[in-house]
Amino acid sequence: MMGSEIKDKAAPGYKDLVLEVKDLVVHYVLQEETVEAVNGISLSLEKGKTIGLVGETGAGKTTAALAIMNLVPDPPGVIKGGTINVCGYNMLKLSSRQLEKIRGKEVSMIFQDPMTSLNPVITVGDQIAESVMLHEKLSYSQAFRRAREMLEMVGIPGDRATEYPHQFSGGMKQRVGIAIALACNPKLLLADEPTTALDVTIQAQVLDMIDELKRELGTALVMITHDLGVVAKTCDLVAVMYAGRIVEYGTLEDVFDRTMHPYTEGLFNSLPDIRNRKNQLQPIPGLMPDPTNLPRDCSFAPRCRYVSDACREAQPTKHQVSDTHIVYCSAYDDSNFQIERARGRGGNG
Amino acid sequence: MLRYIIRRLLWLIPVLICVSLTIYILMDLAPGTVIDALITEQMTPEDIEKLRQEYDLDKPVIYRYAKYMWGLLHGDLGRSQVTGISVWESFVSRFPATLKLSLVSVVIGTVLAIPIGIFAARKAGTIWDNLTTGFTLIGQSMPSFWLGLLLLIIFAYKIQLFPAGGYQGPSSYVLPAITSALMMTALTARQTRSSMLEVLRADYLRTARAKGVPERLVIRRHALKNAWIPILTTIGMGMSRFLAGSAVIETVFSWPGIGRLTVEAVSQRDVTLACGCVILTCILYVIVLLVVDLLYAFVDPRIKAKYASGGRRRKVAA
Repeated sequence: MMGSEIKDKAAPGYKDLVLEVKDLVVHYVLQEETVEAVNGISLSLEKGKTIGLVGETGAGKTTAALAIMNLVPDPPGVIKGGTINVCGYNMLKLSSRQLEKIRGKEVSMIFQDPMTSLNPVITVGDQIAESVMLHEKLSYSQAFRRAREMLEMVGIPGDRATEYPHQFSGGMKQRVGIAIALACNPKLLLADEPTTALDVTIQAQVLDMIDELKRELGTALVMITHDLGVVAKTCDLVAVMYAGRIVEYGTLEDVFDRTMHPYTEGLFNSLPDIRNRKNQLQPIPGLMPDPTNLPRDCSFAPRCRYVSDACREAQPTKHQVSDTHIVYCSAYDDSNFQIERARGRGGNG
Repeated sequence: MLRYIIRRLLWLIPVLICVSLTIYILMDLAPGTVIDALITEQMTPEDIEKLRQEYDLDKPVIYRYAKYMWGLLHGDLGRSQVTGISVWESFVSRFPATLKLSLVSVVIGTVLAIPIGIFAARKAGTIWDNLTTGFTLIGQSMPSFWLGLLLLIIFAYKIQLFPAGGYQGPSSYVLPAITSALMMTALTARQTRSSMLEVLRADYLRTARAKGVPERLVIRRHALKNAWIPILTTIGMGMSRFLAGSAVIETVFSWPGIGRLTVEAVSQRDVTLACGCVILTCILYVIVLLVVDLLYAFVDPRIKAKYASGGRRRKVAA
C-alpha cells in the first residue's frame, strides 16, 4: 500500500536502523530574522536502543524531534536540508496523507508539558483510542478496550478511561501521554523532556515505566533531556547538543567516562556532588549564543576555557576518537590536548 | 445543576420588576395616553373624565402599576387596552412568526459563519483572511433597516423575485432571513475566527497531529470542540435577540411577529400590552441564555464539574 518507492531500500542495513538523521538543518524564518535552531545534526539509532539528546534550553533538541516527525510548525519552521529516515520511510519526501499513516504508528512522541498536551474536552480513553482506531482499523469499542488496557499498563485503573484530563494529576496526565504514544506499538518513540514538568518522586516512576515499556515492546527511544541523571539511567547512546549542533556523540560510557568536549565537561561540572558538598558548583560562564546570529566559528568558543586562536577561525573539526565516539572540537587538532576531567582520570580512555 | 437552574430563574424576578416598572414610568412620561384614540369631538369634558377614570388615568402611575403587578402575581397578564384581547393570546398568536424567522436566520447564520471563521483563522494573516474579515466587518456594521430596504428595492420592486412583505409561503422568508442572518453570520464568523486562532496554537493539537490524526479531524474534532464556548455564546445572544423580535426588520418587511406587536402597542400607548410583551420576551431571553449556559456543560466537561459541585464552590473558584 505504502509504495516501495517511498521505502529507501538502498539504505544499508535499514532493517535494524529505526532512525537515521543526516545533516538536518531546521530554521525558523521570521519576518525580521531567521532563528537557526538546528544546524546539521546526524544521528542513527538501532531497534530497541535509546539515545539521549542532551543540552541546554534552546539547543534545538525539541525542534530536532519535531523535525523527525515532520511536525515543525510551518510557517515559520523550514527544514532547510538533510534527510530523515524512520523505519525506512523518508519523512521529508512523504505526502501529508502518508505522514499521517506513519505518525502514531511507526513513530510517536511524548511531549514535555502534560498539562497542555492533552485535549481538555475529550476523555482520556477516547484520546488513546483515537490513534488505535486510525491505525489499526478497529471498531470504537475494540479501540476503547485497548485504551483501557493501555491505561492499566501505565498504572492507571482502566475505569478511569471515561474521565477527562482535568480529573488527573500531572504525573498521571504524563502517563496518559505515554499511553497515547505507545498505543499502536511504535518502533520509535521520541520523549521530549517527559519528566521536566513533574515532581522528583514522580519523575523516577515515569522513567522506570518508560524503561520497562521500552524493553517490553522493543521500542527505540530518543530521550530529550537536560538532565544528565536521566541520561545515565536510560540511555545507550548520548548526543550532546549545543546551539543546534552535536558537539559530542558516543555511547553512554564514551561520553560519561571518557568525556572529550569542553562543553560536556562544563555540564558535568555544573552538577552538584553529594559526596563533596562544600565544593562550589562551576557553572559554564556566559550564555548560549543568539540563535538568530550564530558565529561562523565555533559557537561555544566565547564560553570555552580552553579556547585558542584556532577556534576563532573555522567551524570545529570532527575527531573520530573510536568506533563509537565522535567529538567536534578544534582543540584536538593538537594530539596532546586533554580537558581537565581527562587529566584527573590520568589520561584519556 | 438543578440548583443552578433554579437560582438563575429566581434572578428573573427582580429583573422583571425593574423592566416592567421602567416601561410603566416611561410610557407615563411619554406624551399622549391610550384614550386619545377613543376621544371624539362630540364628547363633553365629563365624558372624557369618565373615560379617564375608567382607565385609572386619574390615579398616580404607581397605583396602575401596583394593580397590574397584582394581576401578574396571579398569573394574569391583563387585556389589551385597545382591542380588549388578552395579552397572552395576542402574544401567542404572533410568536410563531418570530420563532420561525429566528430559527431560519440562526441556522443560516451558523452554517455560514463557522466555516468562514475557521477558514479565516487557518489563513490568518493572508489575503483570504483580510477578505473574510472585510466581509464580516461590512456585515456587522450595515444597519439592518438599510439593508432590508435595499433588498426590498432590488428584489421585490426592481426584479420582482420575492414578495415585498407579509408572511405567506417560503418565498416571503427569503429577504427578512437574509437581512437578519447577515448580521448574525458576521458576528459569529468573527467570534469563530478569534476563538479558533486561540485554539490553533494549543499544544494538544500538536499531540493530535503526532498521533497521525488527519488535518481535517484535527480541526473538526480537536480544535473546534475547544473553540465552541465563545461561538455558542454569540449564537445564543443572536438567537435570544431574534426571539425578542427584531422590531426594525419586522417593521420593514411587515412581518407579523412580536417585535411589531410591541412597537404597535407602544405607539398606541397600550401599556398593558407593551408591558406584557416586554415581560414575556424578557423571560424568553433569559431562558435562551440559560439553555446556552447549560450547553456549555455538554461542550466542556470542566464546566460540568463546576455545576455539579454546586453554586457556593463556583464562586470561590471564580
